[in-house]
Amino acid sequence: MTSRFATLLVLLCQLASVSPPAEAADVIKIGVLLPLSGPLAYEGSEVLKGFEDARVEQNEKGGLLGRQIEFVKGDAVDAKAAVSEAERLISVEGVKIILGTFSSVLSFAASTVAEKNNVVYWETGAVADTITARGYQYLFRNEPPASKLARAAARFGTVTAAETLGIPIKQFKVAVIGEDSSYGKAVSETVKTVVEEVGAQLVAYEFYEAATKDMSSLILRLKAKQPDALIPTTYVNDGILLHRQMKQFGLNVKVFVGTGVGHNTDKFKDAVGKDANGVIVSGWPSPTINPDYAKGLPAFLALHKRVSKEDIKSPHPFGNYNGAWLLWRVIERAKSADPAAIRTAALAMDEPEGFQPIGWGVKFAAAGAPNAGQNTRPDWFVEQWQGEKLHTIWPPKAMAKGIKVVLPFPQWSER
Amino acid sequence: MTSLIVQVAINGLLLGGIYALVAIGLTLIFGVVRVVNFAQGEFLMLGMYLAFWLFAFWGVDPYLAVLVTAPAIFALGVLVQRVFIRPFFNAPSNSLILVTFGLSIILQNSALLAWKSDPRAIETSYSNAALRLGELSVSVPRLVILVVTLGIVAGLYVVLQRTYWGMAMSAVAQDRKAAVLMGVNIHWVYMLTFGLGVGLEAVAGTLLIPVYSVTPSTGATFTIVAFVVVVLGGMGNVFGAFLAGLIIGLIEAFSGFFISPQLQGALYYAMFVAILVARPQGLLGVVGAQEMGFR
Repeated sequence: MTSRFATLLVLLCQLASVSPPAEAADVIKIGVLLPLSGPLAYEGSEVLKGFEDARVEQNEKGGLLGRQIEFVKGDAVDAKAAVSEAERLISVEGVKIILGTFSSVLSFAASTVAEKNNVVYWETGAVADTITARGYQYLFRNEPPASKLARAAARFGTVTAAETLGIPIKQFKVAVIGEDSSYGKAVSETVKTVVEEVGAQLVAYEFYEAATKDMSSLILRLKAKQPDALIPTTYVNDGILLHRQMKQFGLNVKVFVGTGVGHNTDKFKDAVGKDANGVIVSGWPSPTINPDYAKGLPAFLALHKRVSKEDIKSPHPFGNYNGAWLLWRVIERAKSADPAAIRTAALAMDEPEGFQPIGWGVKFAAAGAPNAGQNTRPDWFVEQWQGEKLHTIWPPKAMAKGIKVVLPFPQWSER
Repeated sequence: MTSLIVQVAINGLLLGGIYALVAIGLTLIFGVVRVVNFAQGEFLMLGMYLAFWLFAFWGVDPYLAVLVTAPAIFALGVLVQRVFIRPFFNAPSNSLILVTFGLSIILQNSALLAWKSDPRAIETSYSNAALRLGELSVSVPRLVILVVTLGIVAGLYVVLQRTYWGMAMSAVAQDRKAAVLMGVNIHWVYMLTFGLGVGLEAVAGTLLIPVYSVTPSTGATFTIVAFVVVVLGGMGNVFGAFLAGLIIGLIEAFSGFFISPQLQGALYYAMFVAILVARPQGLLGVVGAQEMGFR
């Protein structure tokens, strides 16, 4: 009887020794919150590849603080799911850091849960300005916000373009149009501000419904104003329709600058083919960015091919890999995976341009700033479709050798 | 300025042709089968996807693909009517509204599951083609749609007036019981009309793919305008739908050009309400069409 009791005791002890707390000490558990099903599943899976690349790379180097990185995934199919999955990651899985989220709506909702629980929310993809406008303590965002996306496009479409074309800025006529949801309105508003700030002429400021079936009336109105530059904020469908009908009605401009999603995906290029060439757009850099600027790119391309077993298909893997890479550096400097220590280390970080694999520097806005937790140093890239491929054209240092800015935008009749 | 106004009118008529084509199938189904089909736009969406894939995989030109997509969606429509609509033959019309609404959600989400939300578009040699008449520009793919719509309206007229099936459809629409007593197989008429009504959406979808990109929710955006066109034209009236489509297209083009592109949708709804106040039965409808059926 005694020996049986002893055996039981030994067994219990053995069981206790493999219980979760002991195991947890060997890994750093990080919650990964992304839309992995539903309408944003494609984008979510692309972001996840970037995170995986960063995790595998770091684990092969011995992990972080001598521990292997382990991801616990949450599927944020919509804002409601983002909240419940963030709650599950924190309370059931016990994560202290959440990485995410691609979509601003999802990030906005889920980061509230993290903040309440003093869990670090490390945002690497969502851009809405409002995310970092809430004075959160544990929310950090590496990529620049949407207003900078609009500013990058607007600055290029006015000052840079006017200079390149040799037109005095005061005589430079700009048309700003946008779809009429909050996205198009917010971005167009910023673009308009820049146009006025730099002293160019705003000749048209128009909105339309994104679901519209015909943009001919808008195009005829614009044609009457003869703008030098057109800066539209569109989704993909209306961006394609705009392009096709501009061509049909021969609305020629000298500069065409998109502000994001409507003009920087292969969907746009596939639909309009060669007519994409000459279009300028702000956003993540293309793989042809100068490796002297984005120093981490060549290594990343090889890493991605090895880990994800494919060539990159979108700009999301590199952009989000870069964000996760920065988190690893912060954890190393914090010498701890504890949220308070990570926060201190992140706020103390002060690195110049060129520090991150993508070429960006680091300086997070301190607590109390209107954009607390936002990395203030980086700016968005400007790209141009040339030979049906996107090439980085801004900042000039990031432009690859042999690439030149093509201006003016070719006339439709010359294509 | 004159040429500009003519240009806006051309644009409005071409857009109206699209609206009319999308609405004809809906009004046919309403007039004969007495079903308010909320899933109508989804059949258009399926037609667009089918044409897209035929082009993407085998390079089939959409104008040829229509020979495949229309019969395919026609067959699907017949099946849907048999499986989902017929069991509600004697049920109140409200239940059928729920059935078609549910069908629309199922079809949209199945498309989302199968093809994701990425917009799909094709580029044909004529996607951007335009006829030049002096200063005027007429989009070729849109002109094709207007011509086909005219052809379909004329064809439907002949079918309804001259053929046995057409007359059977009219008979069922006018008085279901009397038609049965005259020996019309009412279930066949319902199945074939429903198939024809959604098959026309496949024609529309296929002809639209050179012009628009498609996502799973594309159909829903057309359903709304199709309902406006159907009600404005007089529910169940094919010629009314054609006329109403052109009117809505013209209102949209002129208000978009002269007032604001942002208001072009709002203005045709305002005009729609104004016309209905004056003529509740629609432009060519007859009073009580919703009880009486197709004319």
